[in-house]
Amino acid sequence: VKRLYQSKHQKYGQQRRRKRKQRRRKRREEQERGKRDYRKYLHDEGYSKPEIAQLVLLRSAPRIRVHLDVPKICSFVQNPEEFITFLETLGTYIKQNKTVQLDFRSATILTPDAFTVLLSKIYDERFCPEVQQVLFRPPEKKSPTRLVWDNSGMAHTLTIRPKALRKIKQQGYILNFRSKEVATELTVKMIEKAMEMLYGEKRHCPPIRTVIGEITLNTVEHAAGTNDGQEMWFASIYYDKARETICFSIVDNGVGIFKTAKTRKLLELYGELNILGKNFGTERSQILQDIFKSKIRFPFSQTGLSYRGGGLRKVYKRSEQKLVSNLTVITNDVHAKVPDDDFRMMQHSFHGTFFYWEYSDANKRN
Amino acid sequence: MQTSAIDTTLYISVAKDFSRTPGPRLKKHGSFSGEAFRDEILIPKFREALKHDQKLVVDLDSTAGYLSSFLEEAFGGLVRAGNEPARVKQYLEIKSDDEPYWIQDIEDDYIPNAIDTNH
Repeated sequence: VKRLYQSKHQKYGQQRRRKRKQRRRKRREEQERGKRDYRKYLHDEGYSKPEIAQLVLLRSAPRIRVHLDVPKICSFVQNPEEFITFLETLGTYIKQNKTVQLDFRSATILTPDAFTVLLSKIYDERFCPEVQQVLFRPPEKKSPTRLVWDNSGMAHTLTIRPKALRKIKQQGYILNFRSKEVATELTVKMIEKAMEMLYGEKRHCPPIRTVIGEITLNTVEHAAGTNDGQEMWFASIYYDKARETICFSIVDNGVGIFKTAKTRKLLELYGELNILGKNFGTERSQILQDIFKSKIRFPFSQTGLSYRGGGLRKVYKRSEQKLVSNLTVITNDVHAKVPDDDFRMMQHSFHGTFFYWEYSDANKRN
Repeated sequence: MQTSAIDTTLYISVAKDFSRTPGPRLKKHGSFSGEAFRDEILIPKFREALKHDQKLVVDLDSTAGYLSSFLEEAFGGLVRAGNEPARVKQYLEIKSDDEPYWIQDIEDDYIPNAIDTNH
């Protein structure tokens, strides 16, 4: 009887209150679940109980939002030094538990490899415990860099602001892959997508398969720096329509080539040979060049077997054979532009290994 | 080399008989590894080739591409399985029209340098 005589206002008011209550309960549950997961993560990382309590409290406190401009030349390939400094600043803010708004309006040059490196950091729990800590302010609509932003699919990769994302049309020229394995099927799929962009149909491209395979295998086997650890790799492809070129980039946040077990052994050997009067360069840029060019046969692998450890040589060879273009490697404090034979030391060190190369129809003809 | 001219029992096409997407070196690193190819396909066929005194043709074409470690584990592994490098070279023929540089790598590097010299 009561229900029958309820006014419309009362009825909908009750419904609204009930829904509000449900929403609050759901939010509380999510928060609790998040706290539990975070506690478990910290526990697994080896934090003590009081430290965990403090960190959980700190996390639940409202965050201060800071504004950070991306470098003017926002490109890891073209401007690695400044980009590394920018990543360090970003990391400092994140450690201080601040929400960082990255402003891409300040960039005059923007290349897709910058997104790959940035995303690999943001999705790495060691660098950024929560993806939501980093927000993005895209380039101005009329800016030339906006085209790269839109075409890259960067906005779609980030699920931070779903409402804003709906407005942006996906053109999907960037594909991000993350894996802790060599993931053959994934890399083949990635290459097929790239070839589809270039030729309009899915095709295989064996030289690129070799390059990606060798790099990812190196990451899986050595990048963690220990025998049991496994590092994740993060890859993206971007179709530069104006140049009809596919840009590939692969990055991992491991220890870098010069801190892997096998390179440490090589550095020791170089030291010994120099003592014996052999004139081997000890600068890391020179050593990377030697590894690529097989000046000496790279004799070390984690297993210590002489017939293993030739992956990087094959990557270099494909560049030498002009089957890929503009191969660039950045690892620790070395920046290598391979086709120009330009191997140089940097003032800042990158924590990880980054590979970039391009592929166009001209490479196919070689 | 024309496939029709070859005795089909002594012909291996990696794409048809194993996988169009050959993987890494070892089984623990992923599917369709060089180790699996060597143990399941290459060694039995090579034994057959020795038995019948015929050449074994391994066709590397029509796949998505190779990792050097896959090929090293397969062909270097054939030597490590107890076959002399000279014997392997005598009875094995590699066909690779898509990526001809692999032939040189296999014949001049993986087969002769298959045995570990560090230990």
